[in-house]
Amino acid sequence: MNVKAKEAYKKMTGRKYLYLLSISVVIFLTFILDIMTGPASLSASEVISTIFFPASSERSVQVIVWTFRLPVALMAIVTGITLGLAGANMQTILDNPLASPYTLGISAAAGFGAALAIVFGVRVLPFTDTLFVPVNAFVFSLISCMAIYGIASFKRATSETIVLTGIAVLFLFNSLLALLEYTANPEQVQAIVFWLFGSLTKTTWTTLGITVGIVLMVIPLLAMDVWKLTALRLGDDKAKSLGVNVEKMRLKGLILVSILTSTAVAFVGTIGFIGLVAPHIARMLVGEDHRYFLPFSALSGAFILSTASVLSKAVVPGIVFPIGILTSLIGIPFFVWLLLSKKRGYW
Amino acid sequence: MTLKYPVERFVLMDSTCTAEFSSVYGEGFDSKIVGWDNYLRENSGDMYEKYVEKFPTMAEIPDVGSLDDNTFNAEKVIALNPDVVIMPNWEFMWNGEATKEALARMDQAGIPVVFLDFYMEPLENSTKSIQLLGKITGKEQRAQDIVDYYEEKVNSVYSRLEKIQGKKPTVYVECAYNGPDTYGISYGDVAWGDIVKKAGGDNIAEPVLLNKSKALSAEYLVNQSPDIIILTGRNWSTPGSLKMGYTFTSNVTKSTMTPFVNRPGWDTINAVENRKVYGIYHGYCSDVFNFVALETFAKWFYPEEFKDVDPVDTLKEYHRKFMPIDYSGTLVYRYY
Repeated sequence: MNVKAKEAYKKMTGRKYLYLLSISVVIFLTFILDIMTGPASLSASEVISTIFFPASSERSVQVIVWTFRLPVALMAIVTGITLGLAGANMQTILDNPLASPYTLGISAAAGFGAALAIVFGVRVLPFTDTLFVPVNAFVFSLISCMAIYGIASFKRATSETIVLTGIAVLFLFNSLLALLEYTANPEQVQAIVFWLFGSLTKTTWTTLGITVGIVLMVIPLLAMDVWKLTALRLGDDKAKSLGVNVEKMRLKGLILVSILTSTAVAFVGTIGFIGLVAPHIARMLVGEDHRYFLPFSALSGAFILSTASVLSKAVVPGIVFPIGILTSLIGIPFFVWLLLSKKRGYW
Repeated sequence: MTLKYPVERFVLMDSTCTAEFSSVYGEGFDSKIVGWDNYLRENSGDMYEKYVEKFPTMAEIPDVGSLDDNTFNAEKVIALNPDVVIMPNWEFMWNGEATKEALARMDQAGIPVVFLDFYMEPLENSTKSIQLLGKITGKEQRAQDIVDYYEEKVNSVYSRLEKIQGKKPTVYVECAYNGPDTYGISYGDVAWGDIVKKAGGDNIAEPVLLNKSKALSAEYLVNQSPDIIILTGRNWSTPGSLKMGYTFTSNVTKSTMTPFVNRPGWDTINAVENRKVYGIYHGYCSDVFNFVALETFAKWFYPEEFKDVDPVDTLKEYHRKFMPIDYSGTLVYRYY
């Protein structure tokens, strides 16, 4: 390898690291801002001292920071990471820029599971009580993923069949959901609709812990495959010639995606957009190399959701404003700007 | 449009007004309802159960659908050949277009429609609605007895409140149809919020919600730290919802209310520290029983001044005097 190429490579990776670092710093800032905003306004110094020395601040400030704001602010970041990773992985294994947990009906299935719990009190797993609604959502989104894969693998699992099956699943669960809403009473319909909007305010330390645990389990499994995933983006045939077992990668990917999405959706409701757009933002800025692409997708997701969390509190202070409404509203201008400012196509 | 008198065949749109209808009509009311919607069965299943237990033929009253979800079946109503259709006023608020269309259809068929209001201006229009029901059923005396009883109770509350000086207690009302993890809607200056205000309370939701109903954020609630918390319960199927109504024991109400009281941060709220957390039957917001809600709230807000008032006794008395079904279950509840 000549020196020039080495230099160029170094410069390129250097830029990618710089992007990763910058977005991390920005996320940290939105995180602090997220904890500062709310019905009781707190200063940055109050926030920081309450986080590090809880005993030294007033009881009410302690409750506000530790019970209400910290879990929500952290959940925004973790859910963003989860959805960003799920979307990135999904687009890669299905080789389709339109794939996302939302467009493939996983969120719709979760919504149906939640609605089933709200309307009939039907629980699909026997032992749960406080996590009744989320567990239903979780189980149904897993079911939908398995259904997508099951139907698609009847013949040979090409990415087109998987995407089309996903769309069929989306419509199926949407009509089932409409059926449930039709039979529900007004209070329940309101609860379902609100659930579907997505909201972080239900977060507790328990649900946050579960989400973090699952993300930490999935990340190494994805990290193992960064090279194979990068190869997959060259197309099935090329990946196969490089020794990648494409079918196996696809199954593993779908399972990981379903676990990630189901977890996120179960606890915060259906938040669309992030799974679709975060990977595109990442691809435009750091390219296809999955060593950078996956972490950057995750961080873009975290950035969008954390910003939305700050803004959702500013819409009408004191009221629970569904964050799902805001994610796309704030993300789209940025996304369109990126699309227009780049000269070549990124898919 | 003329009304055939006395009216023999009624269609009740919003069958939850069965309580008012049966109070006014008295004996034989059950055979006069020839059609209704499924509201009573779906939303007040506990009350429905009590009616059907005592008057089994009511289970066979045909369902004519509802304007709410576009299932209103005008043809079916016409086929039932009613002398009058009784509708709730709130249809105009929530389903304006559908209501107008239904009215036009009824008009074509020559079926008069009478509107009652126990919701939009509950404490002003409840008595008027009862009197109107009395007129069309030919039971004016019974209706007047109910109105007298209602007014006596309401006026007694107002006259006591007038004498009370000083700071009003701050109040939070939540419709506890969600489990404890998700906050249910609270009310601005409507429905429960209106009753809170009239009972001498300072509704913490009003400044942010105005005249809407939406969920408040947990943090706003804890930050406001209201003096009184009122959760409304019913026989909803939602997991974790607060169970109250004609068929629930106070033990069930208590055990479903505990997780709400244990919500994170609630231990710092005045209402919890001072042990002032209460439950009320959600249906009482929009029917003739709103006078009991008013009395109950006033007692909770000013326990000293209303020491000699017992809302449960009032409820029992009203049921004994006017209702065909007996008082039972848990309709107002004090947690501590």
